[in-house]
Amino acid sequence: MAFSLIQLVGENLFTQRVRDDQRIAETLSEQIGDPLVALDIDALLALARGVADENGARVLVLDPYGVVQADTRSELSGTRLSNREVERVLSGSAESDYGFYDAGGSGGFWVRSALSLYENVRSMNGLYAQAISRGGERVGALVYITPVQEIYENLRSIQLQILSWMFVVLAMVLIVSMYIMRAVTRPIGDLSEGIRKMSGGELSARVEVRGHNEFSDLAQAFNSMSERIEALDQARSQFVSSASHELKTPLSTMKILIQTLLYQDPIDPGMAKEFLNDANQEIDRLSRIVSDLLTLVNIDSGGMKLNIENIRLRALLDEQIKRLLPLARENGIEIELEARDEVSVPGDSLKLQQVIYNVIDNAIKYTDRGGVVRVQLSRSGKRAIVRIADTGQGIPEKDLPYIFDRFYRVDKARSRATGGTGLGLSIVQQIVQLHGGKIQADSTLGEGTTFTIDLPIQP
Amino acid sequence: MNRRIRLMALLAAAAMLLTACSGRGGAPQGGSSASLPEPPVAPENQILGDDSASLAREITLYRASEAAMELTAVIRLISPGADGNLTRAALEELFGARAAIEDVEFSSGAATVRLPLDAAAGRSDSDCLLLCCSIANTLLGIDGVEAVNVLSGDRAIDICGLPLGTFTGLNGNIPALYAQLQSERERFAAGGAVLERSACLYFPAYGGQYLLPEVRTVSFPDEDYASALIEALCAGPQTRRCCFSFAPEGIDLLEDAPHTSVTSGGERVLELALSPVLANYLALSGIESWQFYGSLVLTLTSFLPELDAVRVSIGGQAVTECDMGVRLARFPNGEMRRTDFDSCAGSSAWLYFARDDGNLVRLECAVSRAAATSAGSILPAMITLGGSYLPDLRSAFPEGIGPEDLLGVSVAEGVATVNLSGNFYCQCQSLDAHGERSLIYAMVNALTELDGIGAVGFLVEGRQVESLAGSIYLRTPLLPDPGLVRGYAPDA
Ligand SMILES: Nc1ncnc2c1ncn2[C@@H]1O[C@H](COP(=O)(O)OP(=O)(O)O)[C@@H](O)[C@H]1O
Ligand SMILES: [Mg+2]
Repeated sequence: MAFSLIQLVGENLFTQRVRDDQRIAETLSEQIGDPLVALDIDALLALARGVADENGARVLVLDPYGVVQADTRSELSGTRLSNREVERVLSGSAESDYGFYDAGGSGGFWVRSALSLYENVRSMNGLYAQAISRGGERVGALVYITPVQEIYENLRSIQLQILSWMFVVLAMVLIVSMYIMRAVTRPIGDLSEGIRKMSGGELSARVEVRGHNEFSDLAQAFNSMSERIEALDQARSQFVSSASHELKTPLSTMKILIQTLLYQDPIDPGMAKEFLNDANQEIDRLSRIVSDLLTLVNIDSGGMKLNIENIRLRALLDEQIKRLLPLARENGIEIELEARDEVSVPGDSLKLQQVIYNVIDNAIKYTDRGGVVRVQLSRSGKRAIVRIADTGQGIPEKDLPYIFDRFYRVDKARSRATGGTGLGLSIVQQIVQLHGGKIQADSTLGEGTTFTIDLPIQP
Repeated sequence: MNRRIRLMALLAAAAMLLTACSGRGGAPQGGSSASLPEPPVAPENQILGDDSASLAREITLYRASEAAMELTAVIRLISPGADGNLTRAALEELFGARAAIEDVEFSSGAATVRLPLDAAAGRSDSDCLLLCCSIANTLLGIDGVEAVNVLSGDRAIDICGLPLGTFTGLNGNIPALYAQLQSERERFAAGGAVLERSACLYFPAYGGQYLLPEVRTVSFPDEDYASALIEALCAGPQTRRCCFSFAPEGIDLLEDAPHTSVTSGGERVLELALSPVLANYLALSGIESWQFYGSLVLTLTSFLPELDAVRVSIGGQAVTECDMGVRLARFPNGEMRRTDFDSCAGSSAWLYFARDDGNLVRLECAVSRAAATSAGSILPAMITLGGSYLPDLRSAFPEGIGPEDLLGVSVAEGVATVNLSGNFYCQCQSLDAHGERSLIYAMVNALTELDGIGAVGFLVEGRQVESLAGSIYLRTPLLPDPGLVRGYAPDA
């Protein structure tokens, strides 16, 4: 655009001058024909000089063969001028023509010059050639030369100005685009770098969050995602190590028992029986762990399907308490059920049975002889609340947040002794969450623990 | 980042290129392959000699009708005679007879017409005036003629007892002129009045060959015309730059008042007694005696009425002979006559000399009367005169070129064609552009000074040539370039 602007300004300046020159040259060529034919140099020169002096120009009068017969500056007289313009006019291919010449170097008019910025022209001249005709015959040509250095220099300075402005704009565009690129590409680059690191296994990789825009949101999302992935990964590896440890313990116990028996010779039948009994217990334990694990894996992989039906909770609680009564009695613990109204919730009967069983089982197991386990059912708005409180030893505050974690046990020995796997509460929590509910544990050390399960009445 | 910067630079460069291209577009392009038309090839034309003289011109003749005392103008086409003298041809046409005039001496714009001795004898003063005006008007109409002197025999004509002087302008009303002359006569005779006349004053010209006339108005307080004329001569030339004064200024040349005596043969002789100082001056200044006497005699006899001879004595010693350069002229009884110095009257022409910058110096130079008007002689005169004419002046012709290298000149339709010799062409080959220009334009300008020539073409041995030394194109005739002329300042 800038270039066409330069072009426009230049052409305007020069066309005006060319038009003026044309007018002058046409008038003079009409007058000068007579003295040229009459070989009257004085009249011819008087006319030419008059026009030349008036306009600060130079006039050449050429014969039909291009020989300069009169030059107001007497420099080119007698020489043959073979400019393109003169040739075109004298050969008859044009009535008039013009061009621009740099007379700076030679003083002559052979160096055609473009009106360009890149040539440092010292003396730019406009050359206007006009045919001199008399009675339809071409008797010569008039060459009217005007200095246009001033116009040329004006144009040059305009061109320079426009160009320098353009460069300023260009530089500005460059800077701005570089800034924008920094703002756009750097966060993306950082992000992709982070993703690359993560996929390379470096899960602790985080992205620097700058400013408040879509990119910073993206970075934040990425960061929280990677935090979760890292946590998951940690949980997984911990789970795997815990699981293998848990599985290994009964196996090594059995190995010892069986080895002891194998090295006994002869085998004491009483002892064998006792050992096999122990091994049998360990197998039970293993199968419990495995079935619990299967349940969890089932839940984790989304394979667990809830068989939803209307569950009457009071009946369910009642049933489970009845199932656990023998155990409670064995441990000298009393179970109370407080349920005034029946509360129905949508849910999977078997799963919910497992939930209640597990929690009450825990309460019995971790309460000393003579304790009480109180089961309450109530309704709060659209939720059913099942509260199972015991008067047991309680859970230390530092362990409380972890009791729902897999294999987490506050007192490992006691848990083992009672046949716990450390997976019970995990499964419970998962099932409750699958039902859209929540489970919460509150405990005071030495006084007891209360589990509160809250289930939505409507799905 | 690096790649991005490189890309930017590339873009900028492309932009630059674009401007450059668009800039070029500003000047109109277009592959026209038109070329200049070539001049027609002229057949070989071996011009020898000079045919310029035969050019006819239209001249107005003023015929006298004596009864009515008036002149009637008739236009005739007149060709110059064999000698190229148009003035003489015009007068012959005017009178219809060869015998009516004895001689016309055309010298630097001044034509001196000698009528037969008896031409004025039988006529009344008014008839005589009519005749003179008829001649003067006719000749003044010819290009280059600025003054006309009419003599009867060798004697100046007087009308009403007063010298007529030189005609410089047309006179239409003869009776009025005659009446004016009569009243002048009366006032002059009464004394106190000053008579004013144009007079032809002859001065020696540089170059040492010729005397040239300068027509000037001289005031005569009394009838001692000779003293006034000598005083005017001593003052030196005023317009003719190629001449010089023959006498030092401030010196009283005349020891005694000049007086006229009549010889036994009835001839009137002017006695001039000159100061003896003059002899020394002439010897010292290098002015030749013939220049001095010639100036005196031609000037005095052209003006003083009815004067036949001049007798000069220097310091009481009569001058009876004079070295004319090529011969010794003897004056019987010391009587110097106009005819003794006729041949000294030359003419002048504007000749061109070269300057080192390729420009020209235009100088009026004394040349023979023939050379001044003839295309064939002016260039040889320019060659012979060369640079010797004045100090610091350089001939436009390169060395090795002589007058014989100008083979011929012909004039047709205002264009003079000069035929140069092969030697001329060869000698020019080493010229630079300035030298070539000054040579060509010295010739063109000098020839176009002549009446009837507007342009000059050149041939070498009758054939057209492209150029002498490469820069000036010679296939077409050239107009002169007065713009090349620069001043000549020998003092500088
Ligand atoms: N009612 C409770 N009183 C005290 N501690 C409890 C109670 N219920 C669970 N806990 C603690 O939470 C741990 C995890 O319980 P759980 O997941 O059921 O595993 P376990 O197989 O050991 O019962 C138990 O080992 C125990 O330390
Ligand atoms: Mg448990």
